[in-house]
Amino acid sequence: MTSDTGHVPAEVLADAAEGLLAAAEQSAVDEHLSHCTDCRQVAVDLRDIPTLLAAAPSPRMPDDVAMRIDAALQAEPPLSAPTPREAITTPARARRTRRMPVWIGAAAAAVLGVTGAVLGLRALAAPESSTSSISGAALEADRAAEAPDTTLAAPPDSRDYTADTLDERVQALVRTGDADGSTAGEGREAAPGTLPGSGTSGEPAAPGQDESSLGTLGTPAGLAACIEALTGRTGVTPLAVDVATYEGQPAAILVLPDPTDDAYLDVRVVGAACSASGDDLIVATRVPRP
Amino acid sequence: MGEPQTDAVLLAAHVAGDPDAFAELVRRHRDRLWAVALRTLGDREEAADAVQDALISAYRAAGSFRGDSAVTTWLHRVVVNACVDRIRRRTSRPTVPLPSEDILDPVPDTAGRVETALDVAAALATLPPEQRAALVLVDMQGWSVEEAAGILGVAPGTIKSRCARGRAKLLPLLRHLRNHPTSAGVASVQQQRDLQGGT
Repeated sequence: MTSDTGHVPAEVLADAAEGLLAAAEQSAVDEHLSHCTDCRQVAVDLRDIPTLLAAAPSPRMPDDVAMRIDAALQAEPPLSAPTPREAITTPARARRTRRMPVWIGAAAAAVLGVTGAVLGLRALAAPESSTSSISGAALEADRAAEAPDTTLAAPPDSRDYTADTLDERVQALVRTGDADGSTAGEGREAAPGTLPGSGTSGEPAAPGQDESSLGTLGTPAGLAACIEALTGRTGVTPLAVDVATYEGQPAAILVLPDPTDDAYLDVRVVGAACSASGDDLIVATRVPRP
Repeated sequence: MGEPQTDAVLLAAHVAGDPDAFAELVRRHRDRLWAVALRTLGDREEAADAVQDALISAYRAAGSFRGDSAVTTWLHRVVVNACVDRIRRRTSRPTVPLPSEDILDPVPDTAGRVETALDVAAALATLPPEQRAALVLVDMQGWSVEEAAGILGVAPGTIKSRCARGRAKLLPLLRHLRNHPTSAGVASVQQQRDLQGGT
């Protein structure tokens, strides 16, 4: 019962206070306490711990955190479609129209229809010079696959991501990767530093103009350091990485598994300075898996 | 909204597609959820991420809530589990986060209370996540052992054991504070229990 010092260890006294000891053990403790003032004092101090803990002032949620959480919840679609008009749309469309008023969606689609045709032609003429993706397999599938049901998605080879097209582009990137079946799959963990494409396509990211404009991000080690800076974790395997531009700036679009919800993708857009010493984050968002 | 609605009514409205019901639920409980997350994680940004992720999960999974516990218990369960998961995932980072001034009440009333808050935060950070979560719920937030067992999904005896082991570890770190335990602390426990009894 007693430790080497001849006293009852504090954890045994704490268990005794909660009634967790067997009868024989409890009576041995009681007997010891009856003649040991030191252990009695420890027992008293232990009883005061809950009071001390409760005396610490309770923090209130800071306004910026409350606003951020309200905004994140507002971006969520309602659980069931409350109006007949929304009820007859497809789930994917319902999600999009909620975030974007219908007239903006239509206007954007019209604009993208035009630029998309132009970029598509350019991509056909020079497929290697437009976008290079570290996820080589995903990109190949990306180029090959059609995405007929996403009117807002720019053509896969268009260089520039924008706030309006990010969700659809990311979904197209992942969908085509899944269809190909060779990209890093549903949150599968790989050894730290292993990137999709490096083991599956047999073709490491070739240094090109896009990578060089993004510095170390174009290398697997640089990318792994960036992801660790973003997530605080090692060994997070991106589902897809597209080295392109965002709103005209050189950027890498990183598509990571969402650790809290398999139905979503954790999307981070980072600039060239993303490394172990800073994440250079441009945009962070969560996108429903296609 | 007229008459204040119960948590259960608000949650049912959310499941039925009411776009504002869940936000109202969050407004009601966010300070307590925040206190649990901040005290369990000891880091403001991590706590904000954990609460946000947890509430979004709860928002989406609300349809599967069966009403076998109070809505507050369920919300706490989602948040606490998110926090414990985060602590477990901190394999490559320092295991003991440095408590910052964010732990403190925005308007601390006395220097003694500030000191207490910092000491308590630093001491809590030394505990394993399971013991920390149990002590935060029972000793700091005023949940009963049975309620904490429901939140953490373990038997009441396990909560008692985690609290006992946690208190024993905190003893050498907090003993210096017990020379001036405040009567305010006792009142605060009672107030929290009253509050929770009313929901």
